[in-house]
Amino acid sequence: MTVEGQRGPLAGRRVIEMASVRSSYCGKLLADLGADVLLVEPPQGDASRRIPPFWFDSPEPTRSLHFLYNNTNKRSITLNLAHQEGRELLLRLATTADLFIDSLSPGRLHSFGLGTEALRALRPKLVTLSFTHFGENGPYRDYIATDLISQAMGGVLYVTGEPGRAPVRLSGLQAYKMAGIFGAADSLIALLYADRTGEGQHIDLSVQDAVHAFTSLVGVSKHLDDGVVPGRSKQMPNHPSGTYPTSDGWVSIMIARPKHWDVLAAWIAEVTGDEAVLDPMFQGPPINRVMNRDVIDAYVTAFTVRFTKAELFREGQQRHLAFTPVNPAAEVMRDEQLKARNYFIDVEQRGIGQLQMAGAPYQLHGAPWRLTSRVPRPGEHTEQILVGELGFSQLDLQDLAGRGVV
Amino acid sequence: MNGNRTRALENLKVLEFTIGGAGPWIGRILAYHGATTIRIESRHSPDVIRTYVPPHDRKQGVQPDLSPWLAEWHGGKLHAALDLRKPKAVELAKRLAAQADIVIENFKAGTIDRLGLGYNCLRKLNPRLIMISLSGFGQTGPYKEFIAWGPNIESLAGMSSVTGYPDGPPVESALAYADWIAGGHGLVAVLAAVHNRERTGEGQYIDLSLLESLAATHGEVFLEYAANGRDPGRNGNDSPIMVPHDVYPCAGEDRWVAIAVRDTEEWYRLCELLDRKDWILDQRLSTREGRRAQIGIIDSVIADWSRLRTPDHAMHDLQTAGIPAGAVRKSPDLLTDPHLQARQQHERAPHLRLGWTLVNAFPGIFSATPGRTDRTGANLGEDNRRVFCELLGMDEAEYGAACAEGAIESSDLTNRRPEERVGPRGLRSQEVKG
Repeated sequence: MTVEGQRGPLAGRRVIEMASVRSSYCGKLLADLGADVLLVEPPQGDASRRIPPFWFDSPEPTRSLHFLYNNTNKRSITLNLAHQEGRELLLRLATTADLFIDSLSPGRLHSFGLGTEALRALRPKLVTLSFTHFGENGPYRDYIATDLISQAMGGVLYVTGEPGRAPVRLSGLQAYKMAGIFGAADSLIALLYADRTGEGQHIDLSVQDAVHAFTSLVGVSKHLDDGVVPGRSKQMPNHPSGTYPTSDGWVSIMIARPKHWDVLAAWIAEVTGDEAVLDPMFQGPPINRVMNRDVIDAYVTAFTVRFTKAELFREGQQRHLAFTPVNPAAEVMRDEQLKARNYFIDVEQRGIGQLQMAGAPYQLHGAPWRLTSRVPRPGEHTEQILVGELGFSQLDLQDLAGRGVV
Repeated sequence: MNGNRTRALENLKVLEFTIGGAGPWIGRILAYHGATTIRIESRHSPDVIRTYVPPHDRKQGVQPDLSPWLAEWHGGKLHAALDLRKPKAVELAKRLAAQADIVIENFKAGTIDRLGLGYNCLRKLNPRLIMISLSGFGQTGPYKEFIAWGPNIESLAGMSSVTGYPDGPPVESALAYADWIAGGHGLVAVLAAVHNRERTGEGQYIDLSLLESLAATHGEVFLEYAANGRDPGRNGNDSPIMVPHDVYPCAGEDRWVAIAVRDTEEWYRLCELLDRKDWILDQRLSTREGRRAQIGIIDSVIADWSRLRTPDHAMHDLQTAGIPAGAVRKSPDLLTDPHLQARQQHERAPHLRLGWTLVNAFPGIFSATPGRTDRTGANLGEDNRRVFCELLGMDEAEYGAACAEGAIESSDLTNRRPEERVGPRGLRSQEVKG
């Protein structure tokens, strides 16, 4: 949908992002929508540049696949905040920004004399977003965490996995994705308010809170009504649900409406010859199948193992049943639907080659989302920003670099 | 507590034609931040969550207004009911859309166009309109009319293939994860479109595919295949950079603590805590690959330690020693988690039948414009009069006629049980801070 010369919906917005593995997806969402996101890194580059795996297994700062994916379209400036002048430069950058994403641990920025109130005193419209594991108040504020620990504390880990085995995480740093989405949405909400009123504000975002918000299907309000503690057995309010074995892999099935069960039960009986599956006790509202999960799963499995996952996908969809194949990465990248919508995008990474990346999570028809810019080297844009935009001279820059400030 | 404070989005009007979770979440969060959000439903195709039968008392039969998901996902909205098979109902929907900033719909691809409420119709009435359609696969392409629910999307997006243990089946989340990921991304897209409209004066259409939205949160998985030709596969709780990195059993049934050791310093601290100072001297264990080679013995020593402690006790001891750790919370634990409590992540909201209940607050504590839930999700058609007479300005005669011909559907009130006003079942015997 990209139209040449058209600008992204967030064009003209400047965001300062203190680099971290937590907030990188948040910054990516904003950058890919057209915001000018300046990634502020320490002189040696952010630690997330060292997360394996690497492109061609070569551990260089622009080859971490995690970093490559989550930092597209950003510019990088390196600043040494241990230096008074480094802190002054950050302050100066902040006065040019609409949004400041502080992903340092709680209180750290304040200890540098760069508290969010100090920033807003210089620029009242500035929106500041604190992006930490546990937020800026509460008894666990200073606890150390990771993505796994955030999934544990937010209630996602306990309900993920197989019955009788230890809980297992959602792969791919999903706690940071959940928090990143809220970080971006909350920022845009506060920016709209700041545009309307001239009043900036501070947002205190915690990864634990974000993960917790994603549990509502099995979370607190459900427990308050039914008293059930959801575990790792199948627990969707519908059945059949989950992954079932096929002759060549797995198929995912979800039967949500009574008429869909009637169609599936007839199909199973036709294939297996077992008419017990047609028993009226399984028909009607979802609860009648939920109460008979194990019996129903036995019927379904005896049926699915007779087919390939592609056969079940095609034949199931023809019957309007929610059957889908469990596809590994290679098959997702060859998926016909994603191909038809040009989902994967080729991105050129200078000096290394071209890489196919997942595209936009949404298609905006009126203003483009785009992945035009590869991932920056640490400090790649320091000169462009300081000399080109803040009015420093080349001599100033050499001086700052010589003293280890930038 | 935030009852009278200004909210950030009070100037926005939202109209939703939604079912399930993904579309409703966008309206829910916009309403939480102050947008006037009207949800249109019909009793002819009821949302699955309205077919709720309380599991603790199935004799009661279907009780839509006790559905925790209705309460949670439709909080803060106005509920109107239209039979969109009738021309008068479509006309009323168009009049509402003409006044709206944002329209959200997540019917099967193509349905909203057949109803005469597609973007190309509505933009003629309202060029500033922002409209988002959410569907399993998007509005175009060979799968556009395929049927899929949240968990199906996990399978097609590559998520199931990397979630679970190497020797076990692909694991689906219990959360309908794709719905919330799509709703959250949809919220970002809608807000970005509002920003764009502020600059250009123009609205736009957004086509959100749940599959594309969920694949976007797994971008690294595809990169590993694209860059190195490898399929990451399922690897339980393993981390490429942290060893140990897993969950360990605690005292009690099915109780666990998550532990992550990020570097050698943290490894030494763990050795001290486990009283295994000999491991500090073992050079092989000072690197993560060395520890990975010995993970069986390390895990069993940690488990012997953790089994003697509750999850909270273990977390506290580990954190005090400077080692990242977290109790694995189950849903009742979330309610009593002192940290979530201190951050007021469970909001006490008015409930038309129970008097009040607790719903999840939304992440991000706003210093100037905190969000809130004015009321939990209510009956179908609960706010018909408010929506059509007050907000749309219909007169009594027109309203009466539209109700009489069934274009506006009557509310569920005939079926309504007496108000109990005693709070949620699960908290009736307990003292709870509101």
